Amino acid sequence: MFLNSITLVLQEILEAALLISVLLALTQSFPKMKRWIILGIFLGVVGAYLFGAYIGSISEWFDYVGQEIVSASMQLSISVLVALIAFLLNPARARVYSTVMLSTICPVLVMLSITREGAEIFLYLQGNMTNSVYTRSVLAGSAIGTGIGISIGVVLFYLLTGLSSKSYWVVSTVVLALIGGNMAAQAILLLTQADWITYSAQLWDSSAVLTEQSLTGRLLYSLVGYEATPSIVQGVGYLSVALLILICGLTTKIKYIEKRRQRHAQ
Amino acid sequence: MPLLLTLVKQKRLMQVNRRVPQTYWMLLLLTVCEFSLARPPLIEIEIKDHLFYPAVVEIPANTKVKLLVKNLDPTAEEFESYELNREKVIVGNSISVIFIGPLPPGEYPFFGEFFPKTAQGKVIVKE
Amino acid sequence: MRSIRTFLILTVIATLILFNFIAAIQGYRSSMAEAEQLFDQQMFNTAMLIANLPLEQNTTDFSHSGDIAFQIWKDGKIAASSSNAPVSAIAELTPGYGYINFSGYRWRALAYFDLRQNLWVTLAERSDIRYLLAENVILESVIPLLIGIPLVGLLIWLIVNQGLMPLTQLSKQLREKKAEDLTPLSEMELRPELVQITRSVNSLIERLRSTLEREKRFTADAAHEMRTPISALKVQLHNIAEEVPADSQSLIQLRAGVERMQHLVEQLLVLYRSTPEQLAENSRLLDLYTLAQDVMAEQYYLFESKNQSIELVGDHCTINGNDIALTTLLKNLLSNASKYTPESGQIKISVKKQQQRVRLTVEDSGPGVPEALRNRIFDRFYRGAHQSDRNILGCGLGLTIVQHILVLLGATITVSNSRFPTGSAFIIDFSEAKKADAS
Repeated sequence: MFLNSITLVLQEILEAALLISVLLALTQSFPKMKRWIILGIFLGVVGAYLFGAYIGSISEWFDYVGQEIVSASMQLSISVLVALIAFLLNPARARVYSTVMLSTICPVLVMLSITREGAEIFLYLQGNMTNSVYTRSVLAGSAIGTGIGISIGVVLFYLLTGLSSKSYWVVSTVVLALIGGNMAAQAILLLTQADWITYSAQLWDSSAVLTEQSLTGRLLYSLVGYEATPSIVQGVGYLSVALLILICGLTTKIKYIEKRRQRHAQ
Repeated sequence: MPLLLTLVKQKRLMQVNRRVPQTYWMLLLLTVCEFSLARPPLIEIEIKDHLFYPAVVEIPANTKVKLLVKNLDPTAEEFESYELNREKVIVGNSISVIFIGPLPPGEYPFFGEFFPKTAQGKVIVKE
Repeated sequence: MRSIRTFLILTVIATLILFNFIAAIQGYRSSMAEAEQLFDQQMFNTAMLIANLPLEQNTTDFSHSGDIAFQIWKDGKIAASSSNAPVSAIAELTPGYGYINFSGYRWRALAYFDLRQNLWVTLAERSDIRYLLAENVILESVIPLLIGIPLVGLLIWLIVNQGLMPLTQLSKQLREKKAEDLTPLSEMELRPELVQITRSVNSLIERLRSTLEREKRFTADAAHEMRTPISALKVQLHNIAEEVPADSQSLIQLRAGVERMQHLVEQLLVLYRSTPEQLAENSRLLDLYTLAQDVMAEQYYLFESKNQSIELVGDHCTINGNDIALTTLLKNLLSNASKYTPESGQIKISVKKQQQRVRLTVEDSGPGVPEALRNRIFDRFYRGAHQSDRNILGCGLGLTIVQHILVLLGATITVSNSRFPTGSAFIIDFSEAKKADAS
């Protein structure tokens, strides 16, 4: 149970920690954004509790696939909001956002991410606390999982902020693209499970190289959305969302701006 | 890589024939309709004392199957399988539906993520 | 703004947690694998033991309800079994280990073939109990690591704080340094990393101090030296006035010029004579309201000549200060108000207690100060931007002196709009003198 608690808690915490540290790193120049993100964390914990408490009735929606549909829509919203963040904060573009806009998107994004992941942890702990023989190992495992997840978040935050201003944005966008792609692929998987998207053929099978149940596999699943046997639709979804975010974040009008600058100089 | 190639090819085709997008929509509609027409076979699995009953499920190959999972325990369980790519929380004393397949023949282990030491099972797909 | 302290504490703890916990996980996994092997070995031994049990009757039923169940197979049939074993086979009759569910539990199963007795033993052991046994033993070694982390975190926090102490002290010294305090930084507990900073700052302070000193002395000397020739000029002016007609334009211009020059020199002297030491020496408790009343009475001719109305409202408030400096401050503020307020304008002074501060407000109905210029009016020799302002007698030092005095008194000044339709308000906040200060 110890190792199982670690992987379960770590997997859920890591996805949220990843998003939160990138957001914190990206919004460093907005001093009040930290407070909004903390509010998002708080709302996320409340949301996770509520989602966990009502997941039984939610599951019955849409002919017993409500859980998949609600989770998938949260994941898709995260993908969209992440793309929006990449678009808005793109340093090469003129400032098109308002602080109000950012301070709405950030907490909502954090809240969604924690709600989805946290509900599972709540249910898990709830189930295992009643079974007293496992209490100790589950608590120890959860603590270690939380510790590792948050530590990776902290290290990532300082790695990002330690980069030079140019590569910092590129790396951040890549991380955002991975998060967005991961969310899209997971949502597609859930919709397939609910039979809302029809089955598509397997894209590859790398379970011989790295199984998903191994700790590394699960870490990679949280970090980059690793799947040993993804379907074609998943692959397409992942790639297109990741590409969209990269385009949002990295396309610049630098050539245009430089031309204009030269014209002004003349 | 082949995927990218086909995408490129399709793009070229689209430039040649402007009616291709319509065909696309038709295809999409067909696939959406498909699932409402076919009625997948139903298989029941019970969870009791953090064990799956039956622990081994046999299903036909290349067929979509609807798993009806009944959790008779008071605690929640998460039906999870890496091989089937499935993951679903089933709260205590409730019923849930999971679609699996169509699958090629083989063995697909599944487990309860909340109590993996006892809740273990597998799906065997036979021709 | 990324704090060095937070960075150090967080990254060190995070790195520690990552390495420690991953090591713990690795240890747990290998210990569990080891335990699993041990249990399996034990099962194998038990199976061998069971195979050698004497089988007297055709079927024997061993009453047993523990964590181990077994079946003995002879010629494809169960020859004997423990009472808690299922009716069906525990394991397929091929040598090796596996898992099976029965009686509401999950069991580790073993099929063992004994060559000598020519029989199969299938043995099952509750897997959850096996697992718990092993895990509890291993957790004993993992949990101290976990409990240790908050302690280590606290220690790291203390160490980093201690390590950054010289930096904290240096920045505290710099923060508490008053603008006019030009004494060098003390070199207490110097660390090699900070020597360069302290030295550079000190040499900067020293250069600044000597420059300021030189400037001050030069201006004060020059102003002082200029008083004598100006007095002489005034005497000569008086003499000339008797010789030329009183309405001579040149004479009026000359008189105005000399007066302006005298005013400038006086103001310069005031500016450079008020030093912190002087102020501190003559500092005593003063009633700001009464002082304002006195100055108002003294300056009343100014307002009268322009037909301006002036009123003083408020309470008696005590502040700590030097009366000469405060009188100069009030004089400058009032004459400014009069100068920049048109004929028949209004001027209002108020003295009010606000929490622990005493607020002096001087408002006028003049043109007011545009927001963009509010910082500049305190600059030396800065005067109103309008051409009309140029006709006002003054040298642009009034507000500079006001600010200079306020800095020495530790008071603050802000400029905003007055309550009149137009005009500016000068708001000065003094700290209230406590009774203890009277001693």
